[in-house]
Amino acid sequence: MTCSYTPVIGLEIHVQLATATKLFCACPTGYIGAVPNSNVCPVCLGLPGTLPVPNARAVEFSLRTALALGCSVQRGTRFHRKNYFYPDLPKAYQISQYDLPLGLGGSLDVRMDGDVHRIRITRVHMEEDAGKLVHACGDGRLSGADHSLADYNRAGIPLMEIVSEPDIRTPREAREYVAELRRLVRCLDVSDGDMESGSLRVDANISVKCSDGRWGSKVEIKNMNSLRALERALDFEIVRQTAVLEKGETVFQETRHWDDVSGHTRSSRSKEEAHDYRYFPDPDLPPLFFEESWVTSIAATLPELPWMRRERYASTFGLSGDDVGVFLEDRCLAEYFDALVGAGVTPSRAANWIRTEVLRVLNEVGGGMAAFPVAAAELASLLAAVERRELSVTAAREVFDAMHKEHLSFEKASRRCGIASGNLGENALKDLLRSVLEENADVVEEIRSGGDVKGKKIRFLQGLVMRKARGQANPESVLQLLEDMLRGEQ
Amino acid sequence: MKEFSGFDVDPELRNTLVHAARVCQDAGAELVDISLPVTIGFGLACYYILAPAEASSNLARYDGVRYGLRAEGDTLLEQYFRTRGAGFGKEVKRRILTGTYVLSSGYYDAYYLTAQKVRRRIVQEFAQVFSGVDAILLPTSPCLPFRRGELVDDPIRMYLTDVFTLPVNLAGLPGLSLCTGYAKNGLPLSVQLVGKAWSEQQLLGTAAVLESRFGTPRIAPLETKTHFKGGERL
Ligand SMILES: [Zn+2]
Repeated sequence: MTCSYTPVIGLEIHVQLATATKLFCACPTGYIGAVPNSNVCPVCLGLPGTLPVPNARAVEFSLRTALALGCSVQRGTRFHRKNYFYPDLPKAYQISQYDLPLGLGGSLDVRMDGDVHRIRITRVHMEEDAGKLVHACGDGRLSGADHSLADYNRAGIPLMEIVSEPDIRTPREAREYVAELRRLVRCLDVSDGDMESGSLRVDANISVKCSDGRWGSKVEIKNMNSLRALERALDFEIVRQTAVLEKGETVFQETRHWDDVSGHTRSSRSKEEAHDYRYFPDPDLPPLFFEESWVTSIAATLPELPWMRRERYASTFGLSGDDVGVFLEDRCLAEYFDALVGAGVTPSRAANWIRTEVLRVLNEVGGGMAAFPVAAAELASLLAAVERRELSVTAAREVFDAMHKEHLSFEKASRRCGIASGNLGENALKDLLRSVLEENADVVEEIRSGGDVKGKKIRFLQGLVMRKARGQANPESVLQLLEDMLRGEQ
Repeated sequence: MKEFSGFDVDPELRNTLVHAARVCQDAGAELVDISLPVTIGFGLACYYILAPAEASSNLARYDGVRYGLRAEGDTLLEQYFRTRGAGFGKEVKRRILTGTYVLSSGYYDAYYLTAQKVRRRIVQEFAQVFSGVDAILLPTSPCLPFRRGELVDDPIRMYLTDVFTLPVNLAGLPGLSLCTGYAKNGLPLSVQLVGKAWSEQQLLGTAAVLESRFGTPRIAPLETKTHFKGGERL
């Protein structure tokens, strides 16, 4: 008889905290593009006689995340040393947390196809990053390389590790879990959550359970640098482990590396390298005890979390899943949306305008929402004019372009585009109409003589007026006025 | 101190302690007998678990990668072995091995964790004693100074000479050693004063009074110089 196989997946996620300085020294954290070994000091180089001093901001960021994940925050927490030798580890131990992590026992809900899956979080803890090795020659691995170069710019950068329970059942669920966690850290402003650059690193533990009761050993997969890579690697591993169990063989406990090019995982660490990390409390760092009031104030000042925002946008504003998705990925965009709605723009129009016009500009210009020059209040004025039908959508786009290109207010941009603010006055509009009627005496004649059965001709005149008004007239009132004037002069 | 009487303390050091006590009394101190059973009974063992554990981790950075001695090898592991094999002395290696052992999984609870608990007891014991006294007078060492390298092959005996000083470090208290004169062979005699936490100022003041009353010469007699010659690297 055939068995069914259930994957059992747990994720360990390292999030690089967006602090200005490292976890235990005052070195800057911006290592990307920096000259190797330029952001280092005696502390993060682990020189003898130096002592670490914890970065309060990193603790706060981790606390914020732990609280948002519903973890119980420990009153006291402490750092442990994880001892092992490797050239990228300056002190030959990593300062991490072990038996008293900052947060314990939270959860994160993953939404898939309308269902909600609750993934339990085991723990949230702080640790320092290691340096980076560049292996010259060979195949880029340490063995076979001519020599290796060590860059300690990254050494000591604060990381937060978030460990899930093995509650994940499918690769897609794993992907959604990571995506939601990424939204969370971005929303909390504790990390940029970028997987490509390594700000968010995912290691997966996966085993396969057979319905006949057999279990494969837990395999750890590393080196997945995107959500897609994570999903593919897990897919691959499920097939591999299932095949091993099908053959009646044993899945070995090991660490495997994902190769995005070949689409395979390969065994990467042999058993003889199995480490005994000899964890013990770091004698250089006293335990941290949090004042109740500090934790309470952090909890009280958490921003609206992604799942709350999702709920509000969907139920209060009736936004589509797509719209909600876009806003959840970018908190600045969402806040811009909220500002527009707050200024009276209808939610659907605000969402639509952001997704078409604002995102178009951001794509062209780059720099993200933070650098976007049009204040929400100004765009709201523009959209209000559209809503009052004082401005056609085409004219509004023209004004909008002037606003972001030349950093103009709505008022100035309208004038710049030859459109006075607000609607043309009634007299001005009538003047405009009269001139159009005079210029098109032949058409007027045809209409008056009853030759406009289908109303095409009057709409032609309406179009001319609208063009001349540069969108600053309500098309319906133009039509009404035209009918009145044509009738009145009959 | 009660426990001290059970120790094999050099007679000259025993005499100097008795003498020091009398000097204290003459200076107006009230002498009280105290007891530190956990400290004296387990302090040394406790220290020689905790200190090597920390040392094994603290000294791991001397791996030849960033600075200091590097003995090249064909592989990374070989470079580590050679560098550390060549760079550390015998006693340091012994402590690294001891420390690595007591932190290993399976041994951590029995050694390191137990030692931490004992340390806590020592801290409490000292606190108890200090609720009744201002300073503790005790020997610095049970024996006269040994030659450099003399005991390196007999570590237990060597470590035992620290029995009165190490617990003070474990308890995080200020302590000082005070020269009280010279032995027949010309080596310095001493006693130790231990104070409450943060009482360094008082402790130094007390020591200054004692020193002036002892009239200890600042410079050791000439013949002692021979004792500091030779010996192997520690
Ligand atoms: Zn630094």
